Formats: sequence, structure tokens, C-alpha cells
Amino acid sequence: MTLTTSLLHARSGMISAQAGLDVVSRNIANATTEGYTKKIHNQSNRIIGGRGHGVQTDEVTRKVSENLQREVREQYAAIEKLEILDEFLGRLELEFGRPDDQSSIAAKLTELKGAFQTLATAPENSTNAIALVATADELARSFNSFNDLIQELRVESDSRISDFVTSVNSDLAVIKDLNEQIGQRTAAEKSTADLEDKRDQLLLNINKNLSIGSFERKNSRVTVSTADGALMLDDTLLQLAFTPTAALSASTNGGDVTLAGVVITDKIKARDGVIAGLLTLRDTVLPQFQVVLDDLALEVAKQLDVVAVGGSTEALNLFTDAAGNAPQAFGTPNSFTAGFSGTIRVRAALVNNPSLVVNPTGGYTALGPSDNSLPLAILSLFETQTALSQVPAVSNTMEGFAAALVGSVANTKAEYETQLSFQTVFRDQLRDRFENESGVNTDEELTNLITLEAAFGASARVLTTVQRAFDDVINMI
Amino acid sequence: MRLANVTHINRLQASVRDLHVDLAKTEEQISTGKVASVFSGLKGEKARVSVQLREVLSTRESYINTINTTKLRAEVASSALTEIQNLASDLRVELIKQTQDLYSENLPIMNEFAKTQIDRLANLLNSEVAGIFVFSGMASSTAPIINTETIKTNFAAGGGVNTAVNAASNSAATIQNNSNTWFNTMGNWNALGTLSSASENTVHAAVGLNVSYGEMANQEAFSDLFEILNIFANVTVAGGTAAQQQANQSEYRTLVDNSRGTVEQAFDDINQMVADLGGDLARLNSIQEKHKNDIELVTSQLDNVENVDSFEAINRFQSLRSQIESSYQITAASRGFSLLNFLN
Repeated sequence: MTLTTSLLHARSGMISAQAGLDVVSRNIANATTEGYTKKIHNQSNRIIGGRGHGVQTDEVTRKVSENLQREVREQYAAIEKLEILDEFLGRLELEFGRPDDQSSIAAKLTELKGAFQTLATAPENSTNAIALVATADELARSFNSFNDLIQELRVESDSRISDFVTSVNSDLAVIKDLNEQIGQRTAAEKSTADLEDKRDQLLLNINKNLSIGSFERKNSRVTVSTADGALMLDDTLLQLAFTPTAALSASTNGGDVTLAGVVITDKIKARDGVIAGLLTLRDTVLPQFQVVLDDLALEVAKQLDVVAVGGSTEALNLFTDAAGNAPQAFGTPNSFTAGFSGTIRVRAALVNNPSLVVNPTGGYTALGPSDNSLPLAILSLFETQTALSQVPAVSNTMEGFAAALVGSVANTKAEYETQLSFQTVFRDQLRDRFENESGVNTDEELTNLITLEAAFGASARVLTTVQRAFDDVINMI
Repeated sequence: MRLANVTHINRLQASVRDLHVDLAKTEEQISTGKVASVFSGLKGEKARVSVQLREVLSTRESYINTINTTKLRAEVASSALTEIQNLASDLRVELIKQTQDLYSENLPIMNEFAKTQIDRLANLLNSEVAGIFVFSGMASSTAPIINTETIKTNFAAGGGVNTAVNAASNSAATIQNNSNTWFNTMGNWNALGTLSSASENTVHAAVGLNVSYGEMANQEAFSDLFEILNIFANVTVAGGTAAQQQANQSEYRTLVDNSRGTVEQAFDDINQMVADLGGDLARLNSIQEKHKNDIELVTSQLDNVENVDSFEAINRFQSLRSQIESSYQITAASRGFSLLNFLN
């Protein structure tokens, strides 16, 4: 052992301490950076020829619990799905009316009943017939408006699916590049911790959009598949494909999401992520409301179609479709027509001559201007319970069904809101646990800083001592 | 970096964020008095219940408006019928006077009285409310009684009824029969023709309940009154020998007695009409009262569903404010926990 050897040991100690300071400073600087995991400075005893030769600086590593990380990602995906459902249903709910502004479709149906009541009270007053037709027209327009909104929301969902599919493909392409870089650095025994952080962040991004599965292979590359196991990225990259539909109607469906040409729409829908939420909205939730709305519109049109009055049968035909067909013309008998809520109209003849609601030209002849037989007969129809064509087991009045529709939208929204609130708390807890394990603790880093400072100082002191020893040796000459 | 661990920050942020969400919701509840401004905020079945209660409220208000309108018409009809009762009573008094052997003096007075009462009766039966003739039933835009001058003229003209009492050639029975026949031709005195009582007004007063009300001007009681009034507006007693005059006076007495009987029957019929209409009005009042009670009950139920208990909301607000303040204090106290503060 020579003085020179001691000098080399002190030098390696100082270099290692500097590398440690580099890691600590980076950790402190990134303490609040999202997705950043704590980096660990590693060092070991350098052994050459069976003897220790100072300290060796190893590659920087990180400590990440993969299971916890996966759970956090899955939770993010669940929240993203619920958030998108909550957002769209919130917009739908606003259009369906507020409790205190009487703009709900149920309130408009009640207004129509009120208009018939007013007409029955003073049928001789022509303004009452005009007001009734105007109220009926407003109800029909409400149905049209809700139908349009549902289809607009479906188109918007469809369009957003396209955006998120593009985003997933783009992130997968970047992960493929990162896989290459990580593989090369691993082979060269260089640190890959920062690249892995970046890759994890991209996996999280994809997971927010689409439930995926991923695992790291021995060469440090990550394989990505859908939650159902369909491979998306391995050595090769398989892209998702989706073509948005410009216009959707109650009777048309949106396009499918495919992976390498294989349709995976239903598999995505059954899982979490924004795309699953959007597909659920486009194909399930919104069409369900559309069916109920169409059925309600048909029920209203059917009820106010043919009326028994004064021993006659009067074809009132208050509502028709856009072509002027009354419900009787829809098929056997008054069969359900998808999208009817979008085409329901007040019969043109009634718009042109509102007095026909009192004195029609068909089977019943009014006995005089105050003959309210027809309005009274119609009023009784509002009190009649029937079943919807799509829900034959349940009977209710027209207004009862309308109230159920508004309640259904509100309850679905409230249900998603409650789930979202619960899942967010759960996600936050998981994220806290993950960050406790893998995040930066500045107190810990500052302790490390003191340790490294002391180590650096001690090595410097060795240098000084060796220098004095050299001086003493030289002075001896 | 004031706190040692980013988790600590996240937890504080999440806690304060949740508290702010609750606080904003509570603030809105206090300022609006409502549980929520959207149906989903009502939760569970309350959204549907809210819609249905409002429907019930709106329907009940509509029924009350209808009953108010109907009551106004029925009350006008009732007042008119009471006046017609008075008219019948006056007519009976005048007819009684005719039985007191002073017909030669009283007859011209009777003629004039009858003529004015024809106009009075027509005016009462042509009573209207806001352009609606209350005794026309469904033909409400038509004045039920035609021009009284036309009635008077046609009744007394050649094709009408001979009202000169003559025991030998124009007996009381003949005059009454002819008069009855003349008034059986509806067009001679009313514009409603043969509209039946089924053409009376009907009002939808409650769920599944239609109430018919009002009377038609073409009913027999009114026809009888017009008949008697027209006879006595024109009646004369034929002259002749003392024996003929005595016979004619006796016949006139028969006419007066028969007419009294007819007027009394009409009075009874009109009395029944007043009672029926009073019954209808009482029923409508009772239904209206029930609707008002329903509105109070439904409003109270709606209050439970939609409105927030202010006391509870304010308490919650104060509690949340304390929680947020505590959270801020903990944050402030935690600032000193970083090792950084002790390193010089």
C-alpha cells in the first residue's frame, strides 16, 4: 500500500459523493413533478485483484411497486370512464329541465293537459284553441330538441373516440421508441430509471384512455396489450383504428374500434377508460334514453290520436310524424318507430285551423261553440294508464312516464356521480400509498445531502493528509 | 419545498378540494333555499317524485281556475233565476188581483205589466258573462231569447193567438191551447231550437269527475211564463149583452185561475232549478276546497323534497368553515416540519 493508493481511494470517494449529490439534487428538484419516482444513488466497494480499491459508483436505480402502480393506473381508468359519463349526462340532464323552471318534458306535458282544461272551460274562446295548439307544438319541439341533443351527444362521443384512439396510437409509438432506448442502455449497463419514469407516465396516459395490461420483459422492454389480452405492442406495434361517423340517428350505429383489423368495441366497452365511457355513451346509455323518449312520444301521439266522443270516434290526430302520418299508419298496431321523437309534429291541419280541436270535421259535430265534449274526452285520456310498447309490463299515465324519464336521467347521473366520488377517494388513497413508497421525501434527501457532504469532506481530508505526508517525505530529503 | 413529502401535499389538496366542493354546495343551498338546482342533486326517487308533485300542483291549480270561471257563470245564472222567481211571484200577485172583480179597471194595468215583464224575463234569460250567454248551454254565443218586440208582435198578429176572451167562441181553454201550440214552435220565441238538457255546460272539476251545471232557456217553465205573459199582455174580454158579459167575465176568471196554476207550476220548477244550481255551486265549492287542501299538502311534500332545511344547511356551512380553517392551520403548522428549516 502506498500513499498514491490512498490518494486514489480518496479521489474515488469524492467522485462517488459528487454522483450522489447529483442524484439528491435531481430528486429535490423533481419532488413535485408528476410521475417522477425517487432515484437511488448506488455505490459499492471497488475490488481489483482481490483487494479493495476505493469506491465504485453504480448505475442509478428507482424503487417502484409494480402491483401498486398497476392498481393506481386501473383506478385512473375507472375514474376517467365515470367522469366522461358524468359530464355527458350532466349536459343531457340540463336539457331535460330543472326542478324550478318547469322546462322538463313532463312539465310541458302537464302544460298541454292544462291547455285542454282551459279549452274545456271556455271552448267558445278561440284563443284557448290557439294556445292549446301552440302548447302542443312546444311539446313536439321539446321532443325534437331532446332527440337532437341525444344524437348530437352520440356524434360528439364518436368524434372524441377518434381523438383518443389517435392519442393511444401516438403514445404507443413513443413507448416503442422508449423500449428501444431502454433496451440499448440496459445492454450497456447504463441507468434507465428516467426513461422508465417517462414510459410509466405514457402507460398511465394510455390507461386513462383505454384499460390495458403491461409487463416488463427481461430485456427491460414493456409489452402492452388490451385488458383482454389482445397484443398492442411487443417487438411490433399494432395500431388501433377507428373511423368517426359524421351523422348519427336513432336507427344508426357508430363505427367499431379495431385492433389490427379485429373488432374490439365490445371488449373495450366492458372495461374502463375514456374510450370505454364514450363507447358506452354512444352505444348504450344514450340509445337507451332515445328508446324511452321515442316510446313516450309515441305514447303521447297514440293517446291523443283517436278519441271516443258523443258516441262517435273522432280522429283528432293531434300529433303526426314529419310526413303527416298519424300513429295508426305506423303499422301493427301503432308500432314503435325509432327516432319518432325527432319527427313528431302537431298535425298541419290543426296548426292551420286550431278550432278543429273543439269542432272537428270528422265523426263528431259540436253542438255549439261551448260544446266541450271533445276537450273533456281528451282530458280523460290524460288520466288513462297504458303500457309503453317497449315496457309492456308497466302501466302508467303519459305524465307518469314523462316523470319517470326525467327521474331516470337524473338518477343515472346521480349514480355515476356517487360512483365517481367513491372511486376518486379510493384512487387518491392508492396514489398516496404509491407516492409514499416511490415518491421523493425531501427530509430524507436532505439527510442524504448531509451524509454526502460529510463523505465528500472526509475524502477531501484524506487528500489533505496524503498531501502533508508527501510534503513531509519531500522535506526529509 | 415546504413540506417533506409530495403525498402530504396531495392529501392536503384533496382534503381542501373536497371541503371546498361541499362548501360551495352548502353556500348554494343557503342562498337558493333548494337542495339542488338540477334533478340529479335530489338523488334517488326524489327527482321523479318532484316532477310528479309539480304535475299534481299544476293540475290542481288548473282545476281551481276552471272552477272559478264556472262559479262566476253559475252565480250569474243563479241570480237571474232568483230574479225570474221574483218575476213569477209578481205575476201571481197580479193574477190574484184579476180575481177581485175589478178586471175592467185592472186589465189595462195587467196588459202593461205583462208587456214589461216579457222584456224583463227575456233580459234575465239573455244574461251573459264575458260574452257567454249563461242560459244557452253549449250554444253559448247565441242569445237564447229572440227580440221581444218580434215575439209580442207575432203573438198578437193574424197568424198568432186570439186573446179576446169570449165564452161562446174563444174560451179560456182555446186561448191556452192556441198559445201553448204557438210557444211549442221554438223559433217563435227562442234561438236555441230543440237543444236538449244534455247540451248543458259540463266542467272537468277533478280527476275523473265532470260536473254538469246551468239551465237552458228553452225549458218549459220559461216557455210557460212567456205564454202567460203574452196572453195577458194582449188579453181582452168581449162585450155583448149582460148575460154574455157575465159569461165572458166568468170565462176570463177561468183563464186567470188556469194561468195562476201554470205560473205556480213554473215557480216550483224554477225553484227546483235554483236548488239544483245551488247544489252544483256547493259541490264545486267543496271540490275547490279539496283542491286547495291538496295544493297545501303537495306544496308541503314538495318542500320536503326540493327545499333545504336552512338551519341544517347553516350548521353544515359553519362546520365546513371550521374544518377548512383547521385544515389551513394544520398546513401552516406543518410548514415548520421540514428539515430544510433547521439546516443553516
